[in-house]
Order: sequence, then C-alpha cells, then structure tokens
Amino acid sequence: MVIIKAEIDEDLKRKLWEKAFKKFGYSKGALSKAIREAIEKWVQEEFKQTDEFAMKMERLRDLNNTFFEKIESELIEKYPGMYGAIAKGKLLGIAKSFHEIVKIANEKAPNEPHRLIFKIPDKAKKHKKRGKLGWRSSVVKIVGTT
Amino acid sequence: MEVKRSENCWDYVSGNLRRPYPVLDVLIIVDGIANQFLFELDTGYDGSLLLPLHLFYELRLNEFEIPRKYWATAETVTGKKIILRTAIAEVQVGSLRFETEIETYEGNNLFLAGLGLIDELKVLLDGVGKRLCIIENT
Repeated sequence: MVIIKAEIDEDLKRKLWEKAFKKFGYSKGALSKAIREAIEKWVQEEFKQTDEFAMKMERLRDLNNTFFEKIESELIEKYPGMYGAIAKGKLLGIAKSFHEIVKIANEKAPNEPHRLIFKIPDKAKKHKKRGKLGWRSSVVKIVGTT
Repeated sequence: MEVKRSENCWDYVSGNLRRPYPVLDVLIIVDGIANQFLFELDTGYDGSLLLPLHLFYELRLNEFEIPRKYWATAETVTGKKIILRTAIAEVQVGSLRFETEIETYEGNNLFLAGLGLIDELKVLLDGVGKRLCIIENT
C-alpha cells in the first residue's frame, strides 16, 4: 500500500464523505475504501477505453491495408511517383503532391481515425530493409511491437 | 527542456549521458498545426524521426500512416527486433520545410533524429562550441 496525496475542492470532499459514510459506515477506513474504489473504477475505465480505441484502430488499419495490397500493383502501374490516400477501405484519390493528397483526404474522410497516405513507388516495394534504432535505444526497455 | 538557440543553431544539452549531446528543434506540421519537439541527433538510427507512441496519436499521425507493408523492421543494438509504425508528415527544421517519415513503436520514449533527417539537411556539428547548426542556402 502507498499513500497518495491529492487536492480536491470542498464541494467534492463533502460529497465524497457523504457517499463514503453511507456506503461503508462511519468507520475510520470508509474514506480510504471509497477513494480506492473510485480510483480502481477510473483506471479500469481508462484501460477499457484505451483497449477499445486500439482494437478499433487495428480493425481500420487492417481494412485499409488489405485494400491497399489489393490495388498496389494497379497503382504502381498507373500512378508511379504520385500520392494516394485510402480510408474506410476505399481509395480517396490520387494527387501529384503531398499537400494535394492531404487536402483530398481531409475533404473526403475528415474525421476518419485511420487513413493511409503514401507515395506510390515506381515498382513494388518488398518489406523495408532492417534498420537500426541507434545506440540510445539500447537503454530503453522495449515493451513489444506496435 | 529549454535549449539555447540562435537562428539555426542549438546548444548541446546535458542529460543522462557522459557528455553533452547534439539536439535540434523540429516542427511537425499536421493540417497546418505545428508542434515543436526537441530531437536528439543519433546517427545510429537510420530512420528520419522517432517519436513516443502517445505523441504519434496525439499529433493524429495515425491519419497519415503509410501502408504497413512499407514499415521498417528495426533492430536495436541489443538485437531486439521491432516493427516501426510509420507516417508521413511535413516538418520544419530552421527555415527548411520538407516531408519526411515519422516512426514510433510501443515502449519508445525517445525523440531521435536519424540519418533520414540528416539526408535532407546540411548539419554542422560544432563539437568545440558544443552546438549543432543547420546550414542553409549554400
């Protein structure tokens, strides 16, 4: 167990006391129990939201990347060196510059949480070569892959 | 961290290393909104810019990702292999503006500027003066 200090305003304190004593009785540990419960609920909710966001993002990422892989060779054949944008599993457009493609993407899929914006290569790229993250990254504890 | 800069020069900073190291300010511009970050120059990193994952999302770079097929697999000096989530963004260093790739991975908390960024710039490492300068229009 650790002790955490935090400041809350008078009104919230009054409400906390009222609810804590009502639920846990007029005992010494009532406030601690209520605060612990409140923090646990908040942390669980935050994790739930983060997990839901990550899952949604992964679904959209899969959708957009699957579509890209389907049309990749066609894009390379027709539009080498140009820029493309994909969202919701659809091609949003093709443009000559990064600025133009961003404009198209913002017009056609303005609030889409995941989009692909890319320069179409001259020929099909294989997976990029392995790179080095630098000596500084050696001091970082790596949690896992993205 | 506050860094003294004059025009296109940034003083080395002191951190948890044995000696001060070179850094540079980079503006990452997403939909016209610029966010400034201080990146450590690391020639051992062969990408352009590496950001912490939470910033990748806060800057909405997930809306500018390149296809997963083109993400690099990187290897740390300890031999750990990780996949680098990558997006394209417009950046500004000094008065130079260009597009570049920004990478991240879960667990990263470093801000690194690597060989990919250096390819776009003329960088002077003034070790004696303990500062990094970007040379423009030369």
